Amino acid sequence: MNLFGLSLFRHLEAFLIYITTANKKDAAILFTALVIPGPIKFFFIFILAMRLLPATISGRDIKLLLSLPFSRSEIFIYSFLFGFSLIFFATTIDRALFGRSGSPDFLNCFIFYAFYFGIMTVNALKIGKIMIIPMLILAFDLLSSFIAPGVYDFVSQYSPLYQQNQPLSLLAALAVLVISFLLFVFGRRERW
Amino acid sequence: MVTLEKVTKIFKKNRVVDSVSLEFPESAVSVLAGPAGSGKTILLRLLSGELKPDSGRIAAKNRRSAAYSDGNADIFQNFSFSDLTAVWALMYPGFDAEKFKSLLSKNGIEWNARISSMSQDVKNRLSDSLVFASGAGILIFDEPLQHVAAEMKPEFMDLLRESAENGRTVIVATQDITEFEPVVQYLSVINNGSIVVSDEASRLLSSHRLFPGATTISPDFRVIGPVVDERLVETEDEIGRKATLKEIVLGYVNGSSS
Repeated sequence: MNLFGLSLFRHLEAFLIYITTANKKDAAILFTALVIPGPIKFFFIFILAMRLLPATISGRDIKLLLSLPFSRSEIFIYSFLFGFSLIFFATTIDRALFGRSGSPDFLNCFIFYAFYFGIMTVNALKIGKIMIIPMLILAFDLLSSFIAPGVYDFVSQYSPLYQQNQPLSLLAALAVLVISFLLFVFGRRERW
Repeated sequence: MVTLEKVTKIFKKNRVVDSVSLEFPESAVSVLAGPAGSGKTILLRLLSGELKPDSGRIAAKNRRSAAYSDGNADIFQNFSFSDLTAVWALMYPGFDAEKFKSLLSKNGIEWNARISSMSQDVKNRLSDSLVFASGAGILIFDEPLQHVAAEMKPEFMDLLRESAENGRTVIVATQDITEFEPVVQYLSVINNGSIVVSDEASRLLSSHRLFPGATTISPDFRVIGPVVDERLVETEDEIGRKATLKEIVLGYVNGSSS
């Protein structure tokens, strides 16, 4: 039997018990909220991303998780995949119940989620609990057409919110996600 | 066996662990002794995998399955004991749920107790119980006797001894080695982030003597440091008086501080 594969599944199962127990109420409420059609979905994805790895890092659980036989990459990947799964199932249910109805599709949600999961992880690693950088980025992204119309055309190409050019937005989100992964896995300036 | 090679950890430009090279053997209780702020806890957190060293290397067979009881243990707040048992059994294939239940009961912790309403002392005892029941190859404890109830201390020592006899690498950090003297087999003294001495406890006891402060000591002997109004000297000769492990720790700490 492949021992590495076996321990990977055991660790995944243990992490699922941890994440669902630690976020028992939040996960159920957020999952239900994510089914609601329309752009409000982005708001709930923002909250969801904040409740996952960033909350674990800036809270006290990270010390205990890391002292268990989890690797840092496992913690990052499992936490990301948990949110990914909630979004996937919620958008699938949304589509089945309400059809297309102008609601963001799974890819729109994934881009937004990946970007903010990454930004919030970097924020938790470098600044701490208060998600000041993600909030400023979201506010700027949301209001850039009013407060900085000159840069709106450029920003909206990469924007995780507007996604005017979806491949570019996807690339930007993945780049942020990869940077946050590298900082978490290989960083040696732990705040915990 | 856990081996550290030139391990350094820097926090805010301070070298809290400074080029530490050390070995913790299998089937033995090793004690890491030193004053508060000497780097013991950071070293344990590096051993447990909670922190990464800035430089150097930590090597051990199955290091990722080490079990660590923090002196200020945090246990997942929303967890029930069934959740804890499930997670620990998945993470540590040798986890012994019956032993865990028995240790909880001996520590006066009820199975349906709420973790969020436990005092820090009870959380620490819970954390120690999880480590002893884990079946991990490397067991690490930070200042365990600070929260163990007086009547449980002999049992705690028995558990340390038994774990070592079963082939585990047992590592304990403490400021006061007195109560560990009956079980310690290897002693390392840390001060200002550096290891000042590391050896078998029996060898340290047989190679150190204490002399009154006013005694003229031959330059052939190595004076380690002051211990209250005496001086600790490294010698195998049966002169002066025998030192306890606590006095040896004190002598090395004082000698490396001055």
